[in-house]
Amino acid sequence: MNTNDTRLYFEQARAHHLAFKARLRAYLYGSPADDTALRAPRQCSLGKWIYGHALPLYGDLPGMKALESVHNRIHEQATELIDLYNSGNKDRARAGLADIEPTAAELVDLLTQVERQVAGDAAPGHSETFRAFGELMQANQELERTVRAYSDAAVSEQKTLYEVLMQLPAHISLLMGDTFVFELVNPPALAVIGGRDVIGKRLGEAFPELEEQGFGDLLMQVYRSGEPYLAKELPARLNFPDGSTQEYFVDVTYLPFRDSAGSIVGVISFSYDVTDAVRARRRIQESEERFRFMSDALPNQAWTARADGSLDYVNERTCRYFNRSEEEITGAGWQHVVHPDDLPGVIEQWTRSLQTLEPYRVEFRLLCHNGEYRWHLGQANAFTSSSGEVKWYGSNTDIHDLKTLQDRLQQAYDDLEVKVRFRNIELERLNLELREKLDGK
Amino acid sequence: MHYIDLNSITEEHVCGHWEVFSRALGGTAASVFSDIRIIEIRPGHYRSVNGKERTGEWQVVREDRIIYNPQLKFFIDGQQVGNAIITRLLSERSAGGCVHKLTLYFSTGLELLLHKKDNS
Repeated sequence: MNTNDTRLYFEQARAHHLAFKARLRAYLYGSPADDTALRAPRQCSLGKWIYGHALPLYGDLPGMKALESVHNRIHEQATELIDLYNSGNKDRARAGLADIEPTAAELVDLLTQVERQVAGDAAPGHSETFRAFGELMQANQELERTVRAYSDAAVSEQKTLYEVLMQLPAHISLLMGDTFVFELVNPPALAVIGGRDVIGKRLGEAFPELEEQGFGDLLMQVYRSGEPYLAKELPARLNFPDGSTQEYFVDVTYLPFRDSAGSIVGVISFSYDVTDAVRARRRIQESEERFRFMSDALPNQAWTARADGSLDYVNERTCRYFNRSEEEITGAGWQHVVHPDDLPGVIEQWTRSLQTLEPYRVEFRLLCHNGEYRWHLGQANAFTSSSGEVKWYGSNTDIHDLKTLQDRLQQAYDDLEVKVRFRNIELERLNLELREKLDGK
Repeated sequence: MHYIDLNSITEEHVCGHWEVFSRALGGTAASVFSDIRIIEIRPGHYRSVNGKERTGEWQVVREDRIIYNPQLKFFIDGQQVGNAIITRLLSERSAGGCVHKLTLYFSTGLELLLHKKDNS
């Protein structure tokens, strides 16, 4: 060991001593700590340095015995102060810190004295042993630091993972063994099951109703096959202690849980409560079904269109009228059944309404399944939902007979005027002829 | 169905073998056309059939001061026996071919709806 090594070695001892004093002071000022290392001379860091390293190496040096003795004394003084503090004499205990200082100074002097003796020892064998010991100690410390760093990182990682699992909005449970004993249930899952105590219980014991609904079989399937199980909107019924029953819909993922050797030791369950979404969608579906039922019962052709004007639904009557499928008519398929002479005007009117959202109203001819074009009145209104989505609801009413009758009436009216004029002329001619005959007589 | 513009009606449109499809006796005065079943119109001449045949002459008269409709005047031996306006002339295509429909309104109040098939 060279001079620098020696200095560092003893600096370490002095640092241990300073740390001891700081911990003692902290204890006496209320910082909770284990007082064993403050009381027992062999338990503190400096004690370990003295008894573990220094005495075996330098026990024959004159200062070492004195150092051991002073070190014991300072611990005796510390023990007295701790006892005073614990018996309620806190101020006296704190004041006693000053009494330790002379002993502490004596200890530091002795450390310096021994350091000098070590530095002045020129025995090569002794120095070699010391150096080897120092290197060993350094390597040991590095190893300790590395292990502690890995250990701290692993603990931290585990802690983070656990916190993430517990905070995820998904329902997470870990069920161990082939009887599926609950080992972990995160708070969202606990909230769903009403906070009932399930940890340590088997699935069939904690939730007999889930066992009855086949969830146990699904878990067993994953446990035995090692294959994940995924399902969407799985209905699950839970019974509650007050006798009530609640039905849920969940998206579930069951994954095999393996130990470090890769053997399946349980099943991890992830599930999301999608009950609200399923119910909302069902309400919409029911509403759509009611709308379809109503529109199919209508005597008119009924249809709906998107904001871009493409039809997305036609009722059954429309399909029958054209003898075409819904797929053939929806989109822009309806344009194939509009009379070619009427189509440009219809498109113009429809485009205008789509742009302005004003009611659509047009008379046009539609090609019936028997090949006849019949006049229809097409009407539609735009409905804008709270989310701003525009939907058109329309109908086509057969006005062919009415329209034909109107045309005939108009024709008859036009003809009548001509006929009256024509008859008047003829009457005038006859009148003239009669007058000429009378005048001739 | 195609209406022929009354101003563009020619003698060719009028000529042909016409059958009476329907009649409306709007007036009280009887005429030689009241009970005809067929009228065959050729350039300048016509032949009507109602059990017995009658033949005569005809001409188209147009005036645009009071009545815009073309008028058909029918004569027998130089004597006018009928005067009618054309109120409608239309052509209809069907599976059976093209049918022309001519509506004549006579000064007596008689209205005849005549049909003829293409090339007749």
